[in-house]
Amino acid sequence: MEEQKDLFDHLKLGKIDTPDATYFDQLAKNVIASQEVKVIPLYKKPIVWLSSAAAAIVILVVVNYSAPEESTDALLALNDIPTEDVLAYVDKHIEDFDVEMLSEMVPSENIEAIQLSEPIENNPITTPKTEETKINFDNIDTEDILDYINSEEIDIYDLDEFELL
Amino acid sequence: MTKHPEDDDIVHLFKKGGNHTNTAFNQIVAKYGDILYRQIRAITKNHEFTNDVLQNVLVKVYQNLAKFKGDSALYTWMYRIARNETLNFLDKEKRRTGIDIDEPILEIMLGHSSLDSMTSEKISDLLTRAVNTLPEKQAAVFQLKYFEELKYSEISKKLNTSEGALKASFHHAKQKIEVFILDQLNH
Repeated sequence: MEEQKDLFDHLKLGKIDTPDATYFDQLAKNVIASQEVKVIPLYKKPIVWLSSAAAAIVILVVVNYSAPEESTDALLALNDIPTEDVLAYVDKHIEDFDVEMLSEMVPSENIEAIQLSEPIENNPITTPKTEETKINFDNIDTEDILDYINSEEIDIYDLDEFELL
Repeated sequence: MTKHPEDDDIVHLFKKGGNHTNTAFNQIVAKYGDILYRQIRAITKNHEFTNDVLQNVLVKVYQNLAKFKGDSALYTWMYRIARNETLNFLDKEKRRTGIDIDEPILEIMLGHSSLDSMTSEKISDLLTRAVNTLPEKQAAVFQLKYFEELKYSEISKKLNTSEGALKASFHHAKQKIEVFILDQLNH
């Protein structure tokens, strides 16, 4: 029992190596850096963008479904546009359309009818603009014509009679 | 000797938030970093391990100090975190091959029959295990008095406890440790 009381008197405590103050300063900085919240502006958060896009889609869907009369009215209003205006518009913007888009806009049962239909009377597209497109060769100098043929490397013997007229 | 702010002031500053939090945290590390370091290293016996554990401890301190209610002294609270983190770490790090281990923290003096056949490594391990069996507050007192060799007046400030209570606590801690070690030696 006596030995138990003296135990610590027979133990010598060694020194534990301890880093200097700079180590602890750096350690504190590391911990703070790891814990500080990075503040991201709301508009930079992807979730905000996704939420906004989703909300916009929902609104569009709801508006489209909740206002069918307006869509119908808009389509009916197209009937009031004169055919000539429509054709003029199409002629002017024909480069903006592609075949796929045009075919999607036409009901499949009508495609054959369109292909078989006669040219519309006075259709500025199907009716040749004889007056405007006809070239008056009388006013063109013969040398200019020959220069053109040479520059285009056209063999005059390849041209048929109709073209020459 | 560096004059550190009082614990209550540090905690109050930490809870203010913003830059105050970081300032207070730096004060905590400056005041208690080395003590916590030695507490951990006495068990892990290696700087790299100690560094890892201490970093985890400080992260927990940073994350939880705002919720600290002052039911115990600040050091006692951190001592508990450090002890738990160290023991958890040791559970995960069973293998220590190829790691440089510190010299034993205790050296055996001649004259005690029970210690004659002991090595310094063995008695150091027993002491560490014995301290870990103590109640938290008692272990903290023993840590500060025996390993840190602080005066009772200094410990009193850190633990918000009277010097008389600290003397009694340290005395009981030593008795329990002696019983634990001798019991282990006799089996």
